[in-house]
Amino acid sequence: MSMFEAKKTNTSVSIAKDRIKALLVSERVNCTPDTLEKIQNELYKTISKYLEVIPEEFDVKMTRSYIYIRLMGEDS
Amino acid sequence: MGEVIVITSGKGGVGKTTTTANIGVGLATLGKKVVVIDTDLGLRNLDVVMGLENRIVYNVVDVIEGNCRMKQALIKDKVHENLYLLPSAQTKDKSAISPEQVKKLTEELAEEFDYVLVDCPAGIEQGFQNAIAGATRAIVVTTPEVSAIRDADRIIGLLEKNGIKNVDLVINKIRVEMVKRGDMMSVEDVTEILAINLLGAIPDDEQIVVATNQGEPVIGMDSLAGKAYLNICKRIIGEDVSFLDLDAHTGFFGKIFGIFKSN
Repeated sequence: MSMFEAKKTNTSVSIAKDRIKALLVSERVNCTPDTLEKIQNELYKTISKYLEVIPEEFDVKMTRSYIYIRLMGEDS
Repeated sequence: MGEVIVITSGKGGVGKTTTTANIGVGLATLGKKVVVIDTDLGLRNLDVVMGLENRIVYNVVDVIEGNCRMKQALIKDKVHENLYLLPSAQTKDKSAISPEQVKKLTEELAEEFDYVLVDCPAGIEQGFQNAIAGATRAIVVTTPEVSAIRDADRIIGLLEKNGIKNVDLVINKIRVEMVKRGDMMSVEDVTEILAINLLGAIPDDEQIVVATNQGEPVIGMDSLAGKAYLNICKRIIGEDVSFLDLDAHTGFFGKIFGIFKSN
């Protein structure tokens, strides 16, 4: 499995996906990927005060109209 | 009362006009009464793709300005009795018509036709505003490239802002071999990024070039792209059709891996 994973991350598709995702994050809500990371960190800090959250599974995703927060497990 | 659907993309060259022509032919094949409108003023193209360029007398601007009646400007398709083209004006520019005028025009056509398909020009300026003015539904065409997806995302946002909620995605020019190598985003990759309903995916098929050379639709030909377009048409009229295996030519192992795998 790890062999396949390594191969995947080197393809031009993975570069394209990273680029387009970063672009869309900043264009959809007018915030840079840097800002998103800060938002993500602060949301994590805030939420972990009240709930048990695993850092590796915590994820914030922005679309055109929503901000999704994933606490753990499967994708929203 | 028919449905007014705008076919748009933001970026040029992704296949809006080819898609409009083929969906028009496909819906007509399924027995619907269809009119396709070219709203790209000054850069008329839909007539050539449909092979009707020699039959144009009047155009969409003539109708709007009252130089002719609607019936005089509508060109009947060579093959399909129930398919008509309203061509664009080659000598006018975008400011010759307004969104209000287009809205009125499409409303009038929707009274007589089951489907009014509006081929939108590239860009997000007035040509775009004109094209979407009367639409209640949109089809966004994109290709699996960063630039096309970025523009598609922008367009989806603009359509939402303009109150068009029924927005579907068509992903064009998929090259299965490149997807398998990891050098082209897959249908799932693009759908995941844009997060709207997928209407269909069209393979990058040589038959499209052949068909366009001849001014004929690819939908009547024995090709994967033609089948994919026909399935899109069936989904538009509400049929539940499963997605085509674009990898049909590569045999057993290709099928096992499939192109719809994510990442």
